[in-house]
Amino acid sequence: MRRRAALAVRLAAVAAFTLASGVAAAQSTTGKKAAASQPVQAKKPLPSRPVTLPASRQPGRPGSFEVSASASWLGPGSAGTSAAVLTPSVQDGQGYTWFRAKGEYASSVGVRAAIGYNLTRTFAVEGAFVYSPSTVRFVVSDDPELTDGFTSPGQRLSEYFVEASIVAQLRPLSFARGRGRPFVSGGAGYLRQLHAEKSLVETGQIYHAGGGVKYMLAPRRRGMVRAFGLCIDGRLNIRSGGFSFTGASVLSPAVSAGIVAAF
Amino acid sequence: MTVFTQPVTRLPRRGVRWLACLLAVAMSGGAAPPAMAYQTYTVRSGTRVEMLKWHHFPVRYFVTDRAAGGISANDLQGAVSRAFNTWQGVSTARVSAEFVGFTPADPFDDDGMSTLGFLSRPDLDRVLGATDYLINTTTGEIVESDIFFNSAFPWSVSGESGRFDLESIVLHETGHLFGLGHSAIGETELRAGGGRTVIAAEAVMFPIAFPAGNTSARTPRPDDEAGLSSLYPREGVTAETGTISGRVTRDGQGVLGAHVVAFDPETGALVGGFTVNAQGDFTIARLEPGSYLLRAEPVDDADLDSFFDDARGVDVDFRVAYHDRMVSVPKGGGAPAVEIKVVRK
Repeated sequence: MRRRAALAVRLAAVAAFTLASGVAAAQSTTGKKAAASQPVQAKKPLPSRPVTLPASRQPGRPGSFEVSASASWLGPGSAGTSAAVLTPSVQDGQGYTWFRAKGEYASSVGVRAAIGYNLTRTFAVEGAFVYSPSTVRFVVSDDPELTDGFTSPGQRLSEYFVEASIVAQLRPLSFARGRGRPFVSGGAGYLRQLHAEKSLVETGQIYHAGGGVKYMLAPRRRGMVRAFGLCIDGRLNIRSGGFSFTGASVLSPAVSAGIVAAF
Repeated sequence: MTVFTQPVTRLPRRGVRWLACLLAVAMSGGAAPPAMAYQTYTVRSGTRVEMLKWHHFPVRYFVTDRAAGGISANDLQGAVSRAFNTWQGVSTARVSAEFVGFTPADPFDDDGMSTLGFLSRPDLDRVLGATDYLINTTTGEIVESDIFFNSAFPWSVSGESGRFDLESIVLHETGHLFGLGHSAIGETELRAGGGRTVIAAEAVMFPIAFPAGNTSARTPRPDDEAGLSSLYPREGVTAETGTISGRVTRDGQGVLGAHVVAFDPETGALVGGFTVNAQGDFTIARLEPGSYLLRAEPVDDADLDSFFDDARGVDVDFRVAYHDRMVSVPKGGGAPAVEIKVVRK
């Protein structure tokens, strides 16, 4: 009897490990043995709905796709400070600053659509499209003839990103029996900015690094969609080659939250 | 036609000499402000307005054969040649000049030759040099242009301390020779004894010279280049550059003579223009594509007649103001017209 109980505990431990590793399919017989061998636990209600999907319908399996749609918040960023400098009358002297102008990206909310392909249980590749109606503005200072300075009200800059990312699942950190899947990601993409009057297009690159979590809700036993879930991620965006007062890259945070469908 | 001055102001202009064989039609005040970036001259012929410019290149010029102001004829010719080469090196424009030879003739003689040389004019105690034109008043073609340098001042071709840099002044005056007017991109301060001292400038064509010994004005700035290429655009440059136009208003009314500067924060380039009529209209052309800040200011860093042949009606009673939006300049086109609103001082 003691030997059987020990075996049951060992099996339960295996089941717990596999769940924590993001493998959502624990064998139902294992659950029964664990419940039977541990009377104290048996008094607790069983999990509402043990995941019993076959391997072919598990979200995140190699060779599967995931599609997500999110609302995306792009945080503020500095577009740099530039000075209008005049040549001084003193030979080789320091330039005379006529005025300075600081450029800023205001925060904005856009949309993000992505499709991911799971290469392995750990790694995936993802392509995404982001549209954001951003706002840029400038602040003038150090103008001796306008001591109060000047702050522009801001103007629209439509931004489009087409990104490619590598996503790494943090399997040891998964939770809720594998439904919650933390991940980190990084990638690069094409940046296209269209100024408000649609008269000037600026292009460049966008780089990003960050992480987030996907939480798969009830899996579906039938149909093309294996599961729906929620996703949220945060990242640091680096715009290079787009609107900038100095030509330098622009750093800004971004947060996306939306839904994901696993196929 | 225009002059270049030493620390203090400009000087009485030489009038435009008329090409006698052509029908003289009214010139728009001699030096109408620009239709494009920077400042260029126009001539009105009936209902048409023609840019004052050369129609044939190379511009053939002579240099006086006399030493003066501490400069030999050869050194003068060398400085003139380098200045013309500098203008020829402006990548967005197409101009050329050819040295024909030395001449005993004086500048400002109506002899059919474009002559550059020294004249002793101690009476013009604030004038380093001046340029005049002979023009076809029907077509606006410049057919002759002379330049004099005032030998009453000490000169140098090597940036010698206490002497004015001849090459810098030649570059300014040959800019006039090609048809450029004065730029207002600069800051000056009033001198106790009258006149102004330049603090800084970002255009070779600023009307007040840097102090003696300074050689900084040997290189055209974006404003100069925009002006030259607006007159003589290299093939294809029109499709590569863009234009900002609009008006400056105060209480809904146009402001005449406002100086409007387009600033590209990414490159630091400054290119200016002026409002040219009572509606406050301005145009700044030959701008590299990009986003620009626009700053409007009254012309208060030199005498008004350094910029306007007829300064009546020029309004300087307003504060510096910025357009509330950046203006995007596309390749080969114009940004939508803007309105810069200013308020009284």
